[in-house]
Amino acid sequence: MLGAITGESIRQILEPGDLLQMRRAQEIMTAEVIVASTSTSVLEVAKQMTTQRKSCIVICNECDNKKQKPVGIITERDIVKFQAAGLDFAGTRAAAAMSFPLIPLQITATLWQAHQFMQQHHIRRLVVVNEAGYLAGIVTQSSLLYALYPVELLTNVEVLQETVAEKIQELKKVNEQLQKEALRRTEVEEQLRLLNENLEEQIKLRTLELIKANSQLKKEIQDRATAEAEVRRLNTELEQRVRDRTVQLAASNDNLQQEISDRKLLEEKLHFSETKVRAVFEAMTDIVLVLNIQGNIEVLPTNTAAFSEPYCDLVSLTIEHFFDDDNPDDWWMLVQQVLETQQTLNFDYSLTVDGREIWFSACISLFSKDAVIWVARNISDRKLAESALSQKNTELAHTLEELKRTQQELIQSEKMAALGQLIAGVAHEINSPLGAIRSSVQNIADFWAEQLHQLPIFFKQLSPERQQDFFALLHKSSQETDTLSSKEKRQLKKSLQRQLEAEKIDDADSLACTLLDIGICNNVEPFLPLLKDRESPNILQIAYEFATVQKSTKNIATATDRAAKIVFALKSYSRYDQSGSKAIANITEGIDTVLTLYHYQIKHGVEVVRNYGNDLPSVLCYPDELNQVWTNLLHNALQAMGNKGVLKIDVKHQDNAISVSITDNGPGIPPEIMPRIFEPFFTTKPPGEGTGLGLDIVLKIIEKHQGKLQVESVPDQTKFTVYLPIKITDGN
Amino acid sequence: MPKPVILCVDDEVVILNSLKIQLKKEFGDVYLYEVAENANEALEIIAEIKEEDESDILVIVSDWLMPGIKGDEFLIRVHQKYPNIVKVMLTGQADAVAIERVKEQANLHRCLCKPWDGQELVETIKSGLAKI
Repeated sequence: MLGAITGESIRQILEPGDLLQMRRAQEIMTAEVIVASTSTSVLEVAKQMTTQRKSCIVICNECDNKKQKPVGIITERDIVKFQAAGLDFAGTRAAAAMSFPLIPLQITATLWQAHQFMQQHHIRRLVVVNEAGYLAGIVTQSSLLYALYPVELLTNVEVLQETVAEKIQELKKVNEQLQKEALRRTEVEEQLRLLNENLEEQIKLRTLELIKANSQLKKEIQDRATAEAEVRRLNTELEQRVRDRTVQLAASNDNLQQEISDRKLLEEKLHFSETKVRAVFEAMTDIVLVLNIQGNIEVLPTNTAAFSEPYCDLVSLTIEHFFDDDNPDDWWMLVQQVLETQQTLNFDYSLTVDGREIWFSACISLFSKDAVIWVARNISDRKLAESALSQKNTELAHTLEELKRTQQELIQSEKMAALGQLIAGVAHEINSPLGAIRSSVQNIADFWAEQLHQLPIFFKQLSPERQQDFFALLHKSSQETDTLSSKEKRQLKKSLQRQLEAEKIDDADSLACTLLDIGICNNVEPFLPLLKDRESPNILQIAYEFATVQKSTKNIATATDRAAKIVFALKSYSRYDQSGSKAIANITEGIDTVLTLYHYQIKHGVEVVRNYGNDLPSVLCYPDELNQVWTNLLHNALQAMGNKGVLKIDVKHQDNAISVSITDNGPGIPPEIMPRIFEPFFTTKPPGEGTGLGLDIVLKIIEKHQGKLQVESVPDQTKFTVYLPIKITDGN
Repeated sequence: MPKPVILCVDDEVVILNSLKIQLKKEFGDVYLYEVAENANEALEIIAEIKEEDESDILVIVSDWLMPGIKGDEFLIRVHQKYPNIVKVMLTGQADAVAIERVKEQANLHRCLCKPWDGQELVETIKSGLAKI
């Protein structure tokens, strides 16, 4: 206990200010407030003050009863001031006269705050408003003073004393309760202490029990450890044993594996070998049999069906054949033979199926000491092919024969073609002399027929002088050699004509011609007396006719020589050697023969240059065939030259051969056709003119003579060279 | 007045000799007989006779196959200048194409073949002369 509070003590400590702070505006405010609206006149306000006995009137915006917002205030003092100022009370509205702004006091504000406001603003009245700002009441200095009224204060103290007494009473009660509570708690604590002691006792007992149990457990654990060590030892021992066993097992397993793999390999090998054998058999289309001495036949599984004859079982047929009594070939004998000789035996045999022979090629070889293997192959196709081949061979032989014949014919025809070309030219060569001969003979015949019986008369009539002249003319005529060209003769004739004209002899032109024909070329002087004779024309005519006979005779001789030469050339060219054997011949003679035959072409613009070597040996050859070579080469050369230019023929003796070069100055063989010129039937001549065989035949003939042919050609010089060995070997 | 001329052309002298004998025998001194061994010589003679002697060539007897200008070409040339001359060809080897050409381009009177018949030759020349 610290002390006691009494009403006196409280009064002593309480100050008026403290009291003001303890109370609220609400408690002391006057709720009955006279209000007026802003539009109310001051006069009206003053009246209300008077009637209501109020010292102030609050001016509000809204003038209904409940909710009024105060905006200003008019006090008695204000009215006094207005009166003194002479304000028109009636005409002035409250709003214009009121004091404002209004300083409102919140309803919850303390009286102290109200007092502070009044002091601050030097006012004695405060309008109180509620939270919403509406008019609640009014507090004045006088109401504040009422609040501090001592009687009321005493009442308040009494109230407070009562309140304190109450509170102490309450506290006493609470204290008693608390003391009771403490007592109860102490009891509870005692109980708890007892419980605790009890618990501790129990714990002690429990701990003892646990220690005991623990020691037991420890012992058990120790036992266990011992047991475990034993187990571990046993385990180790077991493991070792397992390891040893495993090693042993592994070794034995390896052995087994090895054995298995060996077995497998063997098996594979066996399988492969079997497969191989099977495949080999499968691939074989032959009939394969194993025959033993007891007459057993085993058929090996070959694929005889693959190439077999359709619709028949060849294996069965073959086996049947072994046991066929009608079989003319005793196949068991053959088997026996192989077994005895131990030599493989091959032979062909045939089986007849539907009247058709099927051929086999059999091979019997030793299989074991009492068995053989018989392999038979169907060779019908081969037999057929052989037969077809043989037929083809025969056909080919036949064709070859025909080709050879055709070749011979072609060679012959080429020869004939060359000959034909020659003959065309030769015809002209022979017809010319023939014409001359015919004409000359006619002339001679006519002379004898017409003149013979007149000649004696003519001679009788001749005077001795004229007779002398006549014989002189005949003498001149016989002297005439006819070496002059027609041009020279004409010059002579003209000169004669002029001489005769100078001598004033008639018909000088014809006379000059006649004289020239008789053989009087220049010196006409000795014959002038004759020419001036009256009998001159007749004498000259007879003399001329004598001269023509002489000339005709010479013509005939010349023409005959020409014809004979040509015929000789033809004869030597086409000398037909039936034996076809070789003969000794002179190469250049053959070339010359051909040149003679080509004379008619050569003479018209070709200069032939012959360079024949000395002491050229004769050659054993086929002369007519060589002539054909020269003919072809010379013909080609002349044709290439267009029968104009220089044709060079060189014949030389070189070592054991004779070389013949024929060179023309034609345009040459174009390089693009050079490789083809020896091809049969290749020709640059228009169709029908050449066979294209010429050079092919030339080459063949030269080869027959074991010779060679070379060609070199540039423009203006094409040279064919033939090399012929002097001695050719027989047997060709 | 110069005599008309008969001209023979052949590269063979024996032929020329024979022809001349035959013609002279038949026609005597009525004509003059000229011979040439080739076409060029013949052309010279023709030019000479025509220009210098002012005489006429009536007949030409020509061979075909001759060195240089051949008979057909020679006669065609002559014909171009002297179409009135009678042209006779006498050949041992007749080239049909050449003869045809002369017939067409040189109005060939006739072509005779060697060996010829004397009488036929004479008749040919006479028939030729008759046309003039």
